Amino acid sequence: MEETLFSKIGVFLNRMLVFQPPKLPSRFVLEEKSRNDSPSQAEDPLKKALAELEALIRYGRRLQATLEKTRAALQGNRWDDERKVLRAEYTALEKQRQELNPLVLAYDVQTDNAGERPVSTSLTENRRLVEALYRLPVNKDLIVRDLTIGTAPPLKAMLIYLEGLTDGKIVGLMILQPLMLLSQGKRKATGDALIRQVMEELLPGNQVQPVGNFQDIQDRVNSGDTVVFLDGAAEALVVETKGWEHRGVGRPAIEQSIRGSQAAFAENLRVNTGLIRTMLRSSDLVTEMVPVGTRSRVNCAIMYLESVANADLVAEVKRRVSGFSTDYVDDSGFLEQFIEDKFILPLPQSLSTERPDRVASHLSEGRVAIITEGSPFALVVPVTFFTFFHSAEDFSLNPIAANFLRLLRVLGTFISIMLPALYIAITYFHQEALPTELALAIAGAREDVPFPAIFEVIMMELSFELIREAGVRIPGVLGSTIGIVGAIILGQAAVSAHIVSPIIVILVAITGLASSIIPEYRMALFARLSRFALLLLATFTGLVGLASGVLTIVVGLCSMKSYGVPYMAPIGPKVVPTLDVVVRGSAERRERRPDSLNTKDPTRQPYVSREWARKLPTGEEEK
Amino acid sequence: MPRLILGIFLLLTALLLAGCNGSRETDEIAYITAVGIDSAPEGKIKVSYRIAQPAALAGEAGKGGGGGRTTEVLGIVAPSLAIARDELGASVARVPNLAHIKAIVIGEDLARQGLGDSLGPLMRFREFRGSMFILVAKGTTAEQVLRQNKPIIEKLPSRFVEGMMENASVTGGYHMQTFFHHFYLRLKAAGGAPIATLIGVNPLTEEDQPSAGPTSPEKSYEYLPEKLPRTAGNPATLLGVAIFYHGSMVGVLTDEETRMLSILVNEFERGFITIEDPLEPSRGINVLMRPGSSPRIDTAFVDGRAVVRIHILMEGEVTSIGSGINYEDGEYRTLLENQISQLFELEMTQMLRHTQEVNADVANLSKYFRPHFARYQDFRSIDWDNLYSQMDIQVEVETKIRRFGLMRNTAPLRGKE
Repeated sequence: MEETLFSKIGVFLNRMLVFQPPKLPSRFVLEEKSRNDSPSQAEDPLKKALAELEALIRYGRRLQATLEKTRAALQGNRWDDERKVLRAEYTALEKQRQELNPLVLAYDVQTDNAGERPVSTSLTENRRLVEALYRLPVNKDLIVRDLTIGTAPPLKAMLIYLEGLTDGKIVGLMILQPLMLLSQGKRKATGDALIRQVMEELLPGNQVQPVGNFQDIQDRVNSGDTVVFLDGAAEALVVETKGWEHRGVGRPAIEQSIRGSQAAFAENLRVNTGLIRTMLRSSDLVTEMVPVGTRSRVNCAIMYLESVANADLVAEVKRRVSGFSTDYVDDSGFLEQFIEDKFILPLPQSLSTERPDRVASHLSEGRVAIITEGSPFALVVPVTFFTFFHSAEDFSLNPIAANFLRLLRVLGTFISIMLPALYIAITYFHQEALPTELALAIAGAREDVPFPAIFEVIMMELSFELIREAGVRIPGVLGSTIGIVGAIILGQAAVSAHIVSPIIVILVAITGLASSIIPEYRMALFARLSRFALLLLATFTGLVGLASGVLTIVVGLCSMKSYGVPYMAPIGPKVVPTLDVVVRGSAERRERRPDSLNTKDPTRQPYVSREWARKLPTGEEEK
Repeated sequence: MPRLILGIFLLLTALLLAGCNGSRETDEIAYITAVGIDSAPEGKIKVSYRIAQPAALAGEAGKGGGGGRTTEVLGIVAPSLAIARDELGASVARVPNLAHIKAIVIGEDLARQGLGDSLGPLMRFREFRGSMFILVAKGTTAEQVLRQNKPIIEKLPSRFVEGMMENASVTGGYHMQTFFHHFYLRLKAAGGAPIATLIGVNPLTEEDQPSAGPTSPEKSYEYLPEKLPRTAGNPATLLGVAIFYHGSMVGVLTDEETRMLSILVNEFERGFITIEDPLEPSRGINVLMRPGSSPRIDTAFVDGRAVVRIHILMEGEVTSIGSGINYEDGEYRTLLENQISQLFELEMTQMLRHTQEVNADVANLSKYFRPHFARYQDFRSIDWDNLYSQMDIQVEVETKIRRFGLMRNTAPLRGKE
């Protein structure tokens, strides 16, 4: 075809308008299956055999080392000095050999759940188990402390506790000091007696108990106790050292709730991680620390449930948090802008909350929390659009009551975004859509006002925004009072002065109230901004413009992703919904975690969660 | 970036071209709440507009209530409604908006001359809505009706008409809800005759001019709007319906006939009747009637003649027994029930005969013949007007007295027995 001016324009427009994928590295999408989880079945037996062999080799090495030591002692004529030490060592070796009995060993290694294993007599074995259970060294919350008890002969020991849940002073004064400094004298060699001796003579803690398996140990450590492992003993000692931050931490100032926890984050990172850990007591709750900023190194904690959260998601969050350069990050809101995707709509891609209970419940669903040192707000990612209409207390209330509140919020959102635009569109273009009396009432109220309706609406909306912003800035108690008084007096005066009609005052007041009902500040801000855009569209093109505007917002929402998860899931794309999207189901029907998160373990609770209801009450017999 | 800007620009252009236009501030619009059409000499029509005055409706903030007249009536003689609308612009500074017209009133003269030509095209213009009510000014002009409509409760005359229409079925069924849309459909469809509620200007002189005496055993007379004996209040009165044949008004149904029609088309909800006491005819019994079920209408063609069998079940609640006779008892009750059934059968038959005389199938009985035809074309090819006047209509009314008000038994007056 011959090239003419029109064909050139056509080609130009075509090139300009037809979608061409941006030349960027591919966008992160949370895949259905995580790459890192569920190893193939074939390599399982091999792995287990390997674990068996490694345990044997470690035993062998230790035996060899002890033998070397004995030989040196014999050759160097230090037998008398070393005799007791070596005897203790050999007793421990003897015990470990019993554990390495092929049958027991095979059983232990086959047990998938490390938590069910008994405590080993070998300190090294115990340490390996603890590291596996608490995802060390990635997890920075669990502290492992090696020490030597100063008895004759000296005894190797190890203590573990969770940072944030334990009182450091108690650990120091009641465990470390007596064991390391005040423990002179002989010690008994064998397991039971050794445990008893340490418990009765050496540890001054107020509650000390021997425990024999890792399930109990995890429970106690997760609730803030310290566990002392002794070399050569098949039991460990639990010392009560609970001491976490509680109440006095401060109440939530922004996300207040009628029910539920009343604690809020503070500026101290370790207090914040501790607060989360007090609410979510799980061994595989991992806290990773990533320093950000080049001038000022600020620690940033990334928390997730290792057994639930998608590994790709965790890796992506870590990649982003550690993958940007700036000199100084002062707040989580600032950090967020460095790590989120860029979209046209200015919508929040993460949940910013000051409530540890909210973070804990999101972590249990398989999300990841990012806490910045010095910021009392945690970021939870990924989120969907609907998360922003949930409040912390929704699950503390009866489903019917909670759903009423939730639907109220949805209604409020619609009012906040559309009401002024709807009013303008109808009074300007579609007067027939109103009942005659209402049309005449509106017309009558506006009869004395010399301005166009759009001018009235924009003027009142702007003054409302002024009052609102001023209310935030005016210090202390004055703020809210001045805000309310200002609004009422301004509205009243404007009406008497025939500058605005009373209907507009009502409209703006309702809109303002409705936008305050949205629990998330950034979402409410978006509603306020889009209100003005829709208002302009409605002024020039009526309901068609309003509908196009709403459609554009919906398209924008559907194109967004929050850390790889579609923003409108589970509605767009349609996936299996949980009963916690717009409305929430009853507590016993929360069987599955959100599908869009692709968690490692999608099941939250069995289909029959209230088992007691299927059983007979105590004392009653089956007829 | 230029791509984005160009995209947004084109989208906005598309939106501005395809979006609504013609925006108007509320103070640029004249809201018309009712329109009246009368015949005028030389084939013209006289159009009366009732224009609302929003400022009077709103009143001052704090003072409560509006002052002054809320509406004004303007009349214009013009060849057509469309021209009249534009000529209104000669004296009103605002753009007339017809979307809020509640009632379209036709003068009796024009209605009798025929209004198919002037009303039919109305449906085509979007500002005229099918949900307007159509009324016929009985014995006067539409302009007079608009001027004399001075409701005593409502602020707006249009609200008065609306309220009257909405409550037609529960206040006795003496007039009917006649939508313009239904009127138009009846005008064009095969079978069924259009009807329009009558509105009249009552002189308020209490002069008793009944159109017909009471149909025994009923006690009440039959009336048309301008002849109802009443005083004070709004002179505008809605009573009865006008019946049309081929777009021309050919007759009226009185209030009682209208009630029968509304029972037949199942628009009747409840209404009182005062009936002669079967045993003591000088005294009356008040019964609150309501339909027990929708009327059962069976149709057949017998020897080329259309036969309609109508079965109606009425239920009643006795609210007063003047004679004190114990009608609560089984035997007496049957007596009373038969009396009522007889009355309804008689009145219904009279009403139908009346309409048969003018070929106007007001109850749209022809629609029940639809199952006899395979195609609409076959149905349409029948001359329903003639068929209707020849139709053999048998009415059977069954009455059940369900309740006797709040009294279980009637005790005689003290000193009389």
